[in-house]
Amino acid sequence: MTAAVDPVSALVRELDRALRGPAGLKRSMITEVRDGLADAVAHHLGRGLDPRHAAAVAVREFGSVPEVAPLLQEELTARQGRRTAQLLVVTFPATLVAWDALWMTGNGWSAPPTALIAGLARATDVITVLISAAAAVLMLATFRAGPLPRWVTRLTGVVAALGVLGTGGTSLVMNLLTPHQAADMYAANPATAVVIAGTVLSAVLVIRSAARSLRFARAAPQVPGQD
Amino acid sequence: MKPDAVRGHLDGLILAVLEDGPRHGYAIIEALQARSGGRLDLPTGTVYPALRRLERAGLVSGTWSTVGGRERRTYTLTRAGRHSLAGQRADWTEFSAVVDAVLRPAAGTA
Repeated sequence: MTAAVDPVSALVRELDRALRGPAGLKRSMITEVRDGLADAVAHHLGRGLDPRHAAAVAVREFGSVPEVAPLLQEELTARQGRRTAQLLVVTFPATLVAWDALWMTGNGWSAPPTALIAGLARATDVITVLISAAAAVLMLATFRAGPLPRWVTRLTGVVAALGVLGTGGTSLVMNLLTPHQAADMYAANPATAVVIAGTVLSAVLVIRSAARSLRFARAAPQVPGQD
Repeated sequence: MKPDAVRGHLDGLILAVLEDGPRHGYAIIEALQARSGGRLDLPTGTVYPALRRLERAGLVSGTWSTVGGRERRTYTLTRAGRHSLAGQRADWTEFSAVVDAVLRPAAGTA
């Protein structure tokens, strides 16, 4: 029996190709399946079957890829949704606190903010709180027993994208409207560079995770009777 | 028993076979077969996603270890899993009693 015709290897390869999701988790699932199939083959060898038949029976008992892959994909998709929600729950409040701390410890604006700037700052805070709350609800939803509908993961991607666009947009407009005051504040407080770097890094991580949530939610095959 | 009939109860059945100690994937499949007297007609591949689903919900915890030179993922019932199993047992007892009462031929119709 060669690897090319080994039904166990062929099944594992086919599953590997069919699944989309976080790399570490996918690798763990595939390794576990391979390990379980090896156990099944060993079991049938112990019953006196020859290696070829033992492998064939193990694969038949396992079920087909169209039968099993959607169920594994469902979990990969759910875990990606949880990751995106967790990332939002951590990064959004942390960014809000970091910028507030910067305002409180630094020199602040060299002139009182206009009503428009104050409104934009308020909008950024409100968006941050709403996104964090939505992410917390979605994260908790991923802990419910039973299959997780794909729309939960899709929604984490949408919420994350809206959060970055909303807070990034209002922040950008604030800086563009008051370039001199912003530059003064950034120059006066060295911690500003750290907070900006942290904010940009968070935004990049959130956007990447959001894209994955949207992609994996779309990749999830339909399981009859679910979703 | 047909796979469709089992599917809705698979999570509870897995929790039940983990009640007496940690097991890896294939040992869980063997325990399901043994406890059902071989009557569970279930694609064994569906047990692995069910284990991940239970792990996501915090009802079992899975850890990798190397046994005899091979990697194995072993699952243990958590406290939440024991609580869920107790609830599912109670629900099933009530459900089966109700269905049994309705399906039983009424007196005089036998």
